[in-house]
Amino acid sequence: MQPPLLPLLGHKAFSQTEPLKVGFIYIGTINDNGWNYAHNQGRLYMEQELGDAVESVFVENVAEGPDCERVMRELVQAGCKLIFATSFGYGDYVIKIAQQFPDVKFEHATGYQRSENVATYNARFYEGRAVCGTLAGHLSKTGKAGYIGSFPIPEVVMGVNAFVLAARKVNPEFTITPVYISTWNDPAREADAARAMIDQGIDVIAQHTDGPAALQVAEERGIVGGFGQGADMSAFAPKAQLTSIIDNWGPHYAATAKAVIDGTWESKDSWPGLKEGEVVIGDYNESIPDDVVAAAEAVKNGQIDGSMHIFTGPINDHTGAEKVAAGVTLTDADLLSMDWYVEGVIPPA
Amino acid sequence: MTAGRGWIAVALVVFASWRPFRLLAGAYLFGLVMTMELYAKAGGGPLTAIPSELWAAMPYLATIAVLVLISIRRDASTNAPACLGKPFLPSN
Repeated sequence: MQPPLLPLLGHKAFSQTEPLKVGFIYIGTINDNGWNYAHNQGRLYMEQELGDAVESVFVENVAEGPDCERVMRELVQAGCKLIFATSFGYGDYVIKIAQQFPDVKFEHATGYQRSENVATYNARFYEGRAVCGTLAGHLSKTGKAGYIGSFPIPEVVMGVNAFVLAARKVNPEFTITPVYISTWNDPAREADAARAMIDQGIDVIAQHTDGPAALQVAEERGIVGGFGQGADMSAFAPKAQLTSIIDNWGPHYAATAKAVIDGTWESKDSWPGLKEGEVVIGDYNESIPDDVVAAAEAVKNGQIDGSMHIFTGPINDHTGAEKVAAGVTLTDADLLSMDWYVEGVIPPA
Repeated sequence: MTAGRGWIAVALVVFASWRPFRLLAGAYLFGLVMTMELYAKAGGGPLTAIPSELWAAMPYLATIAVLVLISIRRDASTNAPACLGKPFLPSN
């Protein structure tokens, strides 16, 4: 169990031999079987890898707002020298509090703001989305997918676009309808959104929210299926989960903590993907025909060996105008500021 | 915690004048309106005629309307349980 999160009264001065204390803040609970679960698995991996050299604490259900600043301050006061803030909306507060504690290192997941002691890290989820989109293109009967998004930020828009680009390589008529629910974690709303989509003839659902609620609805309604997001969710939807995008944060957490201990940590942006193993494609559902699995594997392996990039032109935007010329690949900077939909996306009303 | 539904719950109780069956009906109605937003976003035919932002705002607009109506109705308190807000003192 983790030690209680209290200001350590009478705590000895932090010496070299003491373990590095690492704090994690999660937006949901560690048993959401998705995003937060995956981060917590990463934390456990870090502890296992570095043994006595680290010690970690975590705080769950930290809202994206002023309250996260208080939580981070408490973590610093409890002796944390490295803090992982694992949700997009913590960004502004991380920057603010990092100025007050220059000797503490902060790492913000999926963020874009860095400073002297704030680094950002992310994973190329869009690579996994391309694999899911390939499966959807082959398996969907109606050629319509739904995408439950939290907020229309580049991170999410990129996933929607990657999914439909991959699906349209298989079925050029394929469309995707994103529905934004303005929260990362509200199982009731995720499930309602999934029901609304299914009632409109959508038979594949992808979600960029934290839990398995949409997959459970997919299972219940018997549609073609959906995808695990963050972690394997087959326990909730053994028939409906076609595959899953698993976030493997452990190696990054272990390497970062190691760098802080060694004094080699620096503020940078880390954005690995399938190749580095930070994004992992889970098991394929056994109901999927072999040739479809082979097609998905080809997309996966193409992205691993670099022979394929899902954002290589020609790409049209949702109005049909050419946005990326043939043979041109979008740069990381283009991806991180993506504010347009590709052809095949039915933009939200 | 309540994902913005706290005030709606308060309004619902007043709206239903503390009667459980009316409350059920009211809760169903509010739930329906909240789901409409998702249907409108997912391309649900005629629902898309109203922007999804307006659907999203509707439960809250209804809440404000109900609270205003209730507060200008003079006999509102007669529907409330008689002992609501009175401290329980066994000696009395």
